[in-house]
Amino acid sequence: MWLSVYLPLLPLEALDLYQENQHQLITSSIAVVKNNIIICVNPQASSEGIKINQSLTKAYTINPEIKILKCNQQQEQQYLNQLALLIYNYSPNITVEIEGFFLVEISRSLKLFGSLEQLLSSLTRVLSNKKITFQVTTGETPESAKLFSIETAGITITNQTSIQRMKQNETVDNKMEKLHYLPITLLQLPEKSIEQILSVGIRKIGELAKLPDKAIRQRFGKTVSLYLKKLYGKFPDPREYFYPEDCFFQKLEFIDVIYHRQGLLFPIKRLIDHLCHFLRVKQKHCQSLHWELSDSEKNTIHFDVQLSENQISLKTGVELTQLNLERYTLHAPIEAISLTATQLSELNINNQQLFEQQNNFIQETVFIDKIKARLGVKSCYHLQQKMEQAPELASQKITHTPPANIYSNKIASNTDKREEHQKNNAIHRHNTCRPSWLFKAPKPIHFNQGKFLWHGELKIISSQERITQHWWKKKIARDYFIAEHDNGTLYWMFFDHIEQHWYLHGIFS
Amino acid sequence: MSSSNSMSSSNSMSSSNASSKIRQLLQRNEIWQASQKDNPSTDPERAISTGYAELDKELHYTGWPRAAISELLLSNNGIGEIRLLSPLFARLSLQSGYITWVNPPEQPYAPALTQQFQLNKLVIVNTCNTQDSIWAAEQAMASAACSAVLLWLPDKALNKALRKLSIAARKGKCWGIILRPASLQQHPSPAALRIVMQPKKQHQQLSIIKQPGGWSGQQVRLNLFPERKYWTPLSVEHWPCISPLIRQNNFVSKENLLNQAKATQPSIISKQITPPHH
Repeated sequence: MWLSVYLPLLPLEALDLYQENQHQLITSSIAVVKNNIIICVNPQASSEGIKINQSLTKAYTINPEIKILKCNQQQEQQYLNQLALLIYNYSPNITVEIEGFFLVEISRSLKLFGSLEQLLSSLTRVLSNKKITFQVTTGETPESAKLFSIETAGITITNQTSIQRMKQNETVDNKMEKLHYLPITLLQLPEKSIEQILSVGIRKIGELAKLPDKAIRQRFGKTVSLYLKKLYGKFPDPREYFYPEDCFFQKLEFIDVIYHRQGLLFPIKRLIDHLCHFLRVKQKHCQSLHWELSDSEKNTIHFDVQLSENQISLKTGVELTQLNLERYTLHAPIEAISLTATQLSELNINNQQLFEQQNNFIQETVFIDKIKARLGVKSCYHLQQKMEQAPELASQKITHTPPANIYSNKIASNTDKREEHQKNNAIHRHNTCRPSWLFKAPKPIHFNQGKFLWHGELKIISSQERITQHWWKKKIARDYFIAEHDNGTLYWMFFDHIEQHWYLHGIFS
Repeated sequence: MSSSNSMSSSNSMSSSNASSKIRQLLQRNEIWQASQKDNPSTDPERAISTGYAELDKELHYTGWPRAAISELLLSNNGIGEIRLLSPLFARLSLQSGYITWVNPPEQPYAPALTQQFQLNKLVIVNTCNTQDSIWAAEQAMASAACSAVLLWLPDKALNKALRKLSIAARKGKCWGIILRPASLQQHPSPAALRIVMQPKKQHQQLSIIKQPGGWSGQQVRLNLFPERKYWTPLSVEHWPCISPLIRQNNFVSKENLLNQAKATQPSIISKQITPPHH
């Protein structure tokens, strides 16, 4: 059994304005054109008598104030893919047709949803939330489902005005019968063939189907015969199914440019919402979002939003993007915004502890992401000790976030533990007495008449520790001492044998 | 008869209302109850031991208060404040949750810190201005993912910001610690605990100028560098100083000097013994 979802107003709805200026759409007449021919009109324009396939000039004569929009096929395709992802929840076999059809094979999904009615009501609910105009019908074959949906949508591709209205919720048995009563003009055939059929006096599909196949082939050609067979399910009709893409890319082009940062919030929200859905369907996780904003002066702003959490939610995504956006100034109105997410990784959901301690803090790194988003990636870092003799090389900054999981230590195997222990021991032996703060660069101090002077006087209070190593990169020959300042601070200072000078290197805090 | 009945019922209603209101008030952290003074609870929900018995004794909560801001007023940076706080970090680093340091005055040095607590919990944030520091600290405190947040602030009265931070600390139930210059001790502050720290000869003097749960004004002497007694000052004649001869005739090359230094280098010169930790 096939389900057909038809979007009669696709060219109009794919353009961004449809969702935000709902009110304007009802009150003013809008038409979408392609090559100066109208391909889609809103209900208001339709009531004024503007029809599909009319020329642009004719439309202007009927209503000089009509708003004409250019069709954007790239955006239409994007929009269809986005909706296909939604319908993907109902069946893996979806065919997307650029004219605005989704043909869905649902016979194997019926058991999952209980019944056809439940599936249809669920799908209708989901699609209604998207605020789109659509028509859902079922049929025995993909082509018949498609015909029913065009018929019920009340809009024919040709200018047939009188269409026989039929009741919905028909049973499958009389579906085929109903097909007999549909007008010939509905058939998805070249116009020439339809004219040929009409010229013989055939008005209904049933009348055509009654003719022997041989006669049809002779009179109207191979295509008509094949089409008719596919329509009635007498001939296999294999379809190419939709498959979600490997990475996420969506671009929104605005018809009315956006002047304020606040105005960008809606498209950002929409794109992240789409991304979240995409990731959920693919069971993937992305590490960074790439945003690109292009303004009317052909400048582009692009930035990356880094994520360290395993799952992205609409709220955190929008918040982090906004924080990043605050760092840029918009010089001209924004015309388009695009979101790309490549390098998707498999989602691995860690098992959470069932009985967590009550006083525990949540294991989340959202706050780190937020700080990095506003202050830059380098503003936030972690420390790591390295086995280096030179003091300034023994401490390393790392910008990626290690998990603060207390249980991770317990999972490590015994050998790992032993190695860790040995390493720790080595490190501890290595650290005899080290300052908590280390200056970025050693600060030279004066030595005059047996006194060290640096904003006051310093007195050596310890014995020396000699560090001479690292000759293969940079020679180091230093004698380190601990010195007490007048104000009570303990400093780590050294005498450099190469430079022959005294320096301060850190503070014991 | 009926009126008296209604009177009594309304009385009982109001009394039950009042008692529930009192109960609500008592649940709030900022209300001090005299009855709790003599039974200092070691509730980890309320406070965690400082790791220094002398200091714990003087604090009514017997430790650093949780879900509140503690303020350390320092005569200058680097007088043992990290030593004072390291027992708290050592304990918190065993639990989940990050320890965030915002705007430290110098670069924290891993080899020293790793002796005191687990480094994988430490997050360091460097900022360009005070406003950013406060914002970052507020985010960390309110996130409920940080067990402790340390914030260094300049010599400015930032009352409004501190109030914001104490609300964030209450929301995230973390230990918020603010380090500021001692010159601010006369300024009022919304911090729950305020301690002025000054170095004296061989020890640190702590004066508690405000604390939750009772009177303040206590003075504590702490020896934060107990290893000092193992340090033996090298006498002046052994200091490696620039010989006047070399300075005058600059004929000794640097390589030669380095070789000399290596030749005279004792195997390990180290009388410094790793101090016992708290």
